[in-house]
Amino acid sequence: MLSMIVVRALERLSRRQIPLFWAVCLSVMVAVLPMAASAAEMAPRALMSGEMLKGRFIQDRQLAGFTKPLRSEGTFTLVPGQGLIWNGKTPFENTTVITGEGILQLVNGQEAMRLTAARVPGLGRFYEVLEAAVSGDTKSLAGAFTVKRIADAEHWSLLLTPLHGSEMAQLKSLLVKGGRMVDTIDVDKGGGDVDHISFLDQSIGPLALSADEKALLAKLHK
Amino acid sequence: MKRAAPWLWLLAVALVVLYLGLRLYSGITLQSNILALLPRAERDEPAQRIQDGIANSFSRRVVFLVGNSDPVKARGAGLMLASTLDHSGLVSKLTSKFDPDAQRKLGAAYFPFRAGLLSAADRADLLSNNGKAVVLRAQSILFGPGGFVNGKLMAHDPFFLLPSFFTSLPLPRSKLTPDGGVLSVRDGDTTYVLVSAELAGDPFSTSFQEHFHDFVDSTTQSMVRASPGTKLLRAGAVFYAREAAAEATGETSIIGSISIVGTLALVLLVFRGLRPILLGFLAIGTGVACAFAGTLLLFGELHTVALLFGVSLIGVSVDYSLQYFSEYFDPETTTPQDRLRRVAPGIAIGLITTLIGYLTLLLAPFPGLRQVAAFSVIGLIASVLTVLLWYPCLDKKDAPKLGRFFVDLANRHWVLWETPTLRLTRFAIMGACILLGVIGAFRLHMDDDVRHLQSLSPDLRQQEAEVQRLTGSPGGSQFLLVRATNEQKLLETEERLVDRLSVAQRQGALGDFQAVAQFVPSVARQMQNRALVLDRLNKPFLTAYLSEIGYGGVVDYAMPRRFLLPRDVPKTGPLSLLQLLDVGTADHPAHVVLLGGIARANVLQQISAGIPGVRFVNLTDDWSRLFATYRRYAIALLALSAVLMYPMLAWRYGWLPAIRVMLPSIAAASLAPPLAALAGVSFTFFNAMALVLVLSIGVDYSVFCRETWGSRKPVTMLAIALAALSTILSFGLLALSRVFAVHAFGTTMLIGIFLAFLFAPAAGDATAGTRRGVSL
Repeated sequence: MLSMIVVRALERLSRRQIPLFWAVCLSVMVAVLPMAASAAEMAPRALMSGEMLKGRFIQDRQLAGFTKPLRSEGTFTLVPGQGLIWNGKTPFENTTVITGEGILQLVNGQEAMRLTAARVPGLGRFYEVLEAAVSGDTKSLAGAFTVKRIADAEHWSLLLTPLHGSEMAQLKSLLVKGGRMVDTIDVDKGGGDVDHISFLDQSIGPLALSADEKALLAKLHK
Repeated sequence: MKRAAPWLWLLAVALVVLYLGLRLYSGITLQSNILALLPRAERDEPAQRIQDGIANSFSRRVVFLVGNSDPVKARGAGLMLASTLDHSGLVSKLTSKFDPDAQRKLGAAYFPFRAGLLSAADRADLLSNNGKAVVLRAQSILFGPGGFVNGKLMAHDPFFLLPSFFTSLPLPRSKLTPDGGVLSVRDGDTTYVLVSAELAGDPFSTSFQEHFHDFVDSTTQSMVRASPGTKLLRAGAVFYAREAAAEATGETSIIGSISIVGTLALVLLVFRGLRPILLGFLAIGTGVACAFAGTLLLFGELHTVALLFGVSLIGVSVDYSLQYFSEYFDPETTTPQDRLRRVAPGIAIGLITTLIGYLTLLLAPFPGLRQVAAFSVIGLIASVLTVLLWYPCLDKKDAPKLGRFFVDLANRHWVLWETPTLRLTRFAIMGACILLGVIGAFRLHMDDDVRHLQSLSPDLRQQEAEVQRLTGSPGGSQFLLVRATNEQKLLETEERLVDRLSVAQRQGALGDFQAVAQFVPSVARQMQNRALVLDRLNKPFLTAYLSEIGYGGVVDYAMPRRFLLPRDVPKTGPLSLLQLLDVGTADHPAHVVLLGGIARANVLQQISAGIPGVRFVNLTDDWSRLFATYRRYAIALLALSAVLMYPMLAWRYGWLPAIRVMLPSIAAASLAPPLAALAGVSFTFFNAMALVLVLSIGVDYSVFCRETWGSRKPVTMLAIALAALSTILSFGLLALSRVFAVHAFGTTMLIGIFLAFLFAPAAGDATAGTRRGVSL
């Protein structure tokens, strides 16, 4: 009968949104980055399994009260079905690993934060929603977002605005732009707080992870 | 006086019937919670109240999972169930809806006190004077991908200590996710929506169970009509209770009917007339009516187990009528008064020894068993009064002409025990019984596991397991109970406890745990945390940190005078869990610490033993231990009732013959458990209680054998044989019951009564050829 107490607690606790918000922002990237759009149709194509995407990123984070945007630069590796490794080089060395099982952050090789998917309810659901976004399945998105898609011969953009009262209402909007690949993502959190992320030097290649990268992805398994 | 007595008894019975009619008309409460049979704790009253409260709040929970392959339909059906439940008045609290505002309220409640709230990791770093690690963590959040930081948070909590505290909260794991205003989980092709509620009524009251059951049935039907393919999984004590009550009531009517029909058929076959049946019915009827009314009057309610045992009382109360009617076979008795005079001493002594047996049940501090005892004592006295006062008035003078067939048949039992040449046969029978008993004794094993004592419906069990699997919530009845003189001391005790539990968790002794102090630290801890933040974080690092990241705003890190208290946490929303953990009363503050994934219970026992005020509670084990204690208690009652019967028998028969009168039933009571063990029946508390009755009923048989003489002997034996048969018909049938306790009771009675009958003639006085005094 103790399970009753737990069930009751669960159903309420699962509504926490702080880690959920993490999930929104992170899973946006996981889901959107694999878009490699073909120039002819300007429709995104997902990474094939057995492939991986590598590149550089520049993240400019504009927060109210800061004199200049917080800029971080580094490299990233995305493996479909396995996860994302986000390697910040400047202003200091830090690594974030995101997989279906959770989020892990390391500073100077030390574990600074760990959120497991079980502790981030809804992470799985956001993957679903954003996969739908990528494949243009606006029907499933209609429950949470208004979706606006603009495409010309060389570029496309996707503007996602959360519906009032939806689980993602803390976000103001998400703007994803690209050509053959995703070039930028703007996450507008309202109140003048905007994350602008640019992706550079992206390349799709056969799956070949280094031992370090494998170890990082495996860290979330334990 | 002698003439008035039957009329007075008639008046009393009329009043009883009137009272019973009124009670039945206004609806009686049938209790089916087997734990109501348990004693109130004699030692630790507040602890018991707290545990009762916990058990009570558990038992009021109901959880539904509404499943459909179409998520939209599942959601619709779930919302429909929720709103129907809400309007039914059957539940007091409904927790299916998702409150988008709850998170904001929670944040607002915690925010002012953030300076005193540190995650375990941040606190550990500050304690070891490693503020640099906290700064690095903050920077990695600022510069890392995604994240929750915004300008407002930066201004009020520059090191993000509150988000860090929130994400470190030990929330139970859930597979449920918010989905369009409900919580749902997907399993294969099916989407399940959670609807849970707290019942407004007593889940163990039969009338509430019926209402709720009807409601759930009709709602399920309309849900399925509205969206075909919808299925409903349910979990909650109320479903088990209703199932058990329905089964017990069904069994009562079936077992009761077979018992009555069988007994009547027996009487009809032997006495070949309606008069014994009608008069027998009268004795049984007045007995049961008085017992029912008396028990209701004394206890206000009736437990289904008491009802089951009580109905079987028929088998015992009819014994006295059988003694009386068997006198029909004796040509020497010609008037009803004659018959009564002959059997009265046996009936009186039999009644007194039986009452001694039942009265010892009253000494057991089990409310349910007291009901059984009260029911039996009142019923038996009423039955005997009917036999003694009404039979002489109602019975006709002339006995029907009955053949000698049954009497001769019964006489064979005497022959077996009193013919000198059959001595070897007797020894062989006794030897065989003892040998089997010894073999059985090696197979005998005690079983006190409460889970075996409650028969739970396999279908409901499976549904509950499904609910647990789908929601990802563990089942379990183990937790820590923390008590202290006030709330702050309670929190401080828990903080000490949490430190040790964390160590145990790292060592793998348990999976996770939830304590109030993790969500609301004690004031002492909050003061310490504030000092840590000021001295080891803000003073050394804040200015440098802000300029390094280029923050130009003003930091407002206020520290109010007051501290966060458990009552500040919103009662609804994410942390309503805390309300459930707070199980104390105004005078006795107490918290529960939930434990999940316990791998090594002994570690938890050690931890709880090491901190005053903490107790490791294992409800299942506690109950099992209790059953073990009371099993031993019942054996003591058995010995006690034997000791109490002896002076009475010694007064009548002399010290040595009294032992002889008691021996057959003592042998029956000691041989019944090992013989039952040969049939694979383990020995539980309920078997022990049955032995108390085997002893007292068995003594009855011996007394009847001892009281008879000469030519009356075969007649008496016929009455005893009929009595044993009718007792087996009623109690033996209980062995067929699916209610475990009743089954255990019935099996022991079946074997015990048979043995008591088998050995009874050994108590007889072979030399008693003449009439013994009848005055009593």
